[in-house]
Amino acid sequence: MSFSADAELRKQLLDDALKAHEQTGTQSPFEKANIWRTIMKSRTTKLAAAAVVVIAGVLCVQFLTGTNAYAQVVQEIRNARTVVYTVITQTNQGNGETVKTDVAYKEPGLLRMSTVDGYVIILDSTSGKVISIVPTLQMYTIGDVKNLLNNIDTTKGPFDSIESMKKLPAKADEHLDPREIDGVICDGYKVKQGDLTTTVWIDAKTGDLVQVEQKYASAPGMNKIIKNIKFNVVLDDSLFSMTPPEGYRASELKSDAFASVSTEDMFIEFMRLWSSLTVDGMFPPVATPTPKVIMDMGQQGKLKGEWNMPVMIRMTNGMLFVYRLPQSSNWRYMGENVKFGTPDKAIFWYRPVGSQMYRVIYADLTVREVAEDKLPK
Amino acid sequence: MIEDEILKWRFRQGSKEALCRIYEKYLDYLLTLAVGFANDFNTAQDIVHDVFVRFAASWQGFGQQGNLKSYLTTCVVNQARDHIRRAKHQPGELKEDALIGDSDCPEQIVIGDEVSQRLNRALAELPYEQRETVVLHLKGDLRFREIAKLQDVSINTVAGRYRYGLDKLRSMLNDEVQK
Repeated sequence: MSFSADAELRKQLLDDALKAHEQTGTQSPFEKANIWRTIMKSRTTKLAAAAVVVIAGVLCVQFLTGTNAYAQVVQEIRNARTVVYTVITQTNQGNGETVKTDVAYKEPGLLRMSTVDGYVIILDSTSGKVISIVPTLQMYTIGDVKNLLNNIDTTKGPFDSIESMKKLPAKADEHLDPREIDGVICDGYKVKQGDLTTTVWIDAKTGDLVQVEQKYASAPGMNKIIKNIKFNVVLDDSLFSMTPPEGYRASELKSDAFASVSTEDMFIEFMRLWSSLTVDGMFPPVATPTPKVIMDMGQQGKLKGEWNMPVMIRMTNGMLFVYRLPQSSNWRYMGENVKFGTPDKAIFWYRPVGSQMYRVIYADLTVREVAEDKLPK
Repeated sequence: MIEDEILKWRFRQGSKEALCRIYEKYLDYLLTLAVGFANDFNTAQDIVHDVFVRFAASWQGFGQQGNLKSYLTTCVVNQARDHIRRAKHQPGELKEDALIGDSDCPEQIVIGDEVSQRLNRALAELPYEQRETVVLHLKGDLRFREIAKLQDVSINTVAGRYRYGLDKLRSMLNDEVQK
């Protein structure tokens, strides 16, 4: 597929470009040198100019020394072809239990996430395949999740942590006071990008990246700490193999298992299902609970009924609604510790694209439109 | 590359010859990209025209340090997006008398045009982001990383857009062949 303009068109386009070239100012670029020649004629102005250059240089060095470490770390993140790190999130189950997930990332889209009890998810965004392995159940799930990845803003999905780090700007908004983290004195740099505030902690002596904190103003349940970050480590392709462990039984996801388009109704259905399948009738602790949260609640005897694959798929379709909401939706989940049917209790709200009003879902799963200043505090 | 550095330097000095050389070197490439984005030759022509006029007028303040080809590609991408946002046009048929195909052979010229038109019709059916990604990668030879920077999205999003775009193109073009 190549196109080429004919002779007449070529001439016409070139004539217009040359005309624009001629019309752009009458000052020759060499005339700009006159200003400098004027400065250098007088001894007084020459000294003043020299002073300005020196002061600017000193300020520049001081500024760069402080922010150079941050800029170098950001560059390292952007250039990294592989990254390994640990993500720490809180489950918000009242006891403040944290979940640690080890992540390995390899371009152009391979991700491996694993928890301490061996639960593993491997995702290949290029082929759209995923495998999840649950050692406690000796079970694996493998499938095609094109629909799952479709339309998901990668800053909110499984690639959230790494993609957010790669989007850090070269210059931080704020340089923080030093802090000790894991026995290391670190310089801190804060960056605000829309809903997300990232704080980067760098070893003050070595310039190594020590910790990254990510906080979402509209979704505190997504806040995380990222540690043990290493770049460009050798990651064998076998780490991202889609071959299940021997002896494990399969549960196959159909290629169209997940909805390509998510609706509010699906989210409401998810809330209804969850509250009907928990002993206390409460809604989930977060809007998008991880499988680990579900497993932990199961072990604690908080679940009832049939948590089978069709139920999980319906719940996942509901969670996808949240994942697919754009940042401008300012969604907020308040369903933790709320029982189904609690009167006048809002559990979730969001602003649809193009709307000034928010849609608020209540604990009885009714929906009302509410102005921003009338949202629950 | 060295030639481009010299051209940039001479362009900054106000050299018309450098402008002409840049124009000759990149016109067809940029036109091909613009046709891929806009699927309308007139719009593509407008896009490339605007890019070169602005580029020509920028010589005094031109400070581009990086790759000249990437710079011009970015200009066309941005201009195409602006045009598509503003324009209320119908996808037009490409006028064969204004185009010359890849080959100089008369028979090949006709075939080349048919293939290009078929491909462009299929491209027009893609969502704009996928179309832009496919054109930039296949015709612009841009790597996914460069496209990600240009589109301000993640490399994974670019890979996804490219894959879905190609899948749809294959499906559409296979349907046409079967008909």
